[in-house]
Amino acid sequence: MSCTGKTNPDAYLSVRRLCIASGAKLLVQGVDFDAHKGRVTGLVGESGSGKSLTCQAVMGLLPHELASDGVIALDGKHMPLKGPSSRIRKARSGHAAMILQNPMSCFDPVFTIKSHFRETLAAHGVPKRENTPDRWQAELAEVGFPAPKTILPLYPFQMSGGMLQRVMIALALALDVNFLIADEATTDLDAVSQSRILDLVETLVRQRDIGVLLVTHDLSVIARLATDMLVMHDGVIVERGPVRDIFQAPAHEYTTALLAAHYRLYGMTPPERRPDPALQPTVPPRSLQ
Amino acid sequence: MSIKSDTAPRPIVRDQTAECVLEARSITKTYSRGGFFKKAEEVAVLHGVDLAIRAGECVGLIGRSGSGKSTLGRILLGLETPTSGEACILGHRTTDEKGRVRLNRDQRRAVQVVFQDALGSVNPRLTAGDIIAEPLRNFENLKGAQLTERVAELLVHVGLSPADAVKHPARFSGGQLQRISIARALAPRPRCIILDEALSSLDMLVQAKILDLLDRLRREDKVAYLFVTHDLRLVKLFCDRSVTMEQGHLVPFDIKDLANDQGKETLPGDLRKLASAMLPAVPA
Repeated sequence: MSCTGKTNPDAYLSVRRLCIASGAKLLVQGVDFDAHKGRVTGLVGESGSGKSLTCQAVMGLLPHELASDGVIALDGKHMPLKGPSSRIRKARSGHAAMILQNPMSCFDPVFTIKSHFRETLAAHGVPKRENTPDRWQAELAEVGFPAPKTILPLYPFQMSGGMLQRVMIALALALDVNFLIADEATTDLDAVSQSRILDLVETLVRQRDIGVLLVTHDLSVIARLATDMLVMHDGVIVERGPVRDIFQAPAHEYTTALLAAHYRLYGMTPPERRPDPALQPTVPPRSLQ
Repeated sequence: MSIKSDTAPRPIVRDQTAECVLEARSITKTYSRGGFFKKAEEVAVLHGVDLAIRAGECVGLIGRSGSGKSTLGRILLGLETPTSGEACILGHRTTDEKGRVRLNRDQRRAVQVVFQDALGSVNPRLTAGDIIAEPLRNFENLKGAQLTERVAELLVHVGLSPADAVKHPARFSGGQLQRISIARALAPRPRCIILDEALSSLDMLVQAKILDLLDRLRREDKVAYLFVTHDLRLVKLFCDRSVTMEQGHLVPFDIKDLANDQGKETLPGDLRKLASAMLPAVPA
């Protein structure tokens, strides 16, 4: 992984030297990573480790009071970190979309699903003649609603969390994005709904060749879906690599502790920490200009 | 960072004669839905539920979302009245003859609860210290230095620092707030704690730590738990026995049946779905 700040042209999403600070406190300290199309990259870490801030920075949704610096490239194009929301939206439109935790609170309760579709597509500049129920229904059918026509007139509170999460994915896909960021997208769902959403994401990766950044604190979600993983702790990526290798032999102390807690849930013996501490060079905290 | 594995499954000898802390006797509950312009529709959630929790026992209550698990928890706490049947805390009914909730001081103290929504279950204007001190002032009449000391002790218990007592809820993360809710539930030294999806949104390391703490309390102080969840892994790790909510009825089951295919066949439908949706421990 280069520390030169040059983005990787082969990767769909490339993040370099991302720093986010609140006042004098560095919340994200020089994060570098790549994520590819057709692959699921897992990002693991505890609450407050900076995973959500990293996602927000990729989408240009950081709160105004936070200072940020670094390079984010989607499909080889550099993305503005800050600026007017119309510019931020235009730059990312068609490239990346994000689905969030707790779908119940992500929808406007006084509008129907139909209005949500119409508004989202219009905001991203889809002309009126293409912004039609046929297109919305096609997206809903793709995320596994057998009768999409009956979904459109519903209000968000008439649907379950699992259904709303699928509608959120449909809204993201309606913009023909190539990259999906799922920030704890299945955390509040029950096990059956969670497994259906993960199946859906897997199908989308296979059929549409989209890339996914899967942010979670649950290692079994990573085990189920991801091919590569990043472990974040206190604003730094402490370990990265293929999921299978890390699950068998974690190198960093923090990853070892996480995996020990994870295996204990299943009543299994945790793996030994890899004796060779040949870790990636840890990136020193950098001050922001 | 290291994890103590205190909660390795150790057999606990259950005392069949121990008194019931919490008891549900053929409880039914019906909610009415709609009815502003048309006739209200009756929705039956619980159809005759029986459950008894003895001192020091940990009962897992599993069900899909919307199956009525939380409703049962709220009725047992005396937050809601059952449509018929009765709930008892420490052997006394929670409702009077007219069906209104009447709890005495001991009953109120005996059962505490931790809800899933941590931010919604604390007063944003109080500091963490005040939140934890409230039950202590109320039930133990603690004051001054004694109170501060006990609050600090509880904060350390749940893995926070005594310095956190002066902070307001907005300055904590979700996981930290959940630990404050747990400290508040532990404060009056209850006989039973109802954990309503209390651990499902926590980080794995915090979850493991809280499980160790709860397990220690169960052994040392004979605290009983009603563990409401949809995560079968936690039930397997932590509970003595488990029941599942299946169309408004409680069905007891053996958690070991989940491991083999033969046993799985005997499980009720919703539980079988939950079991087959369990995620793998290691990448395939």
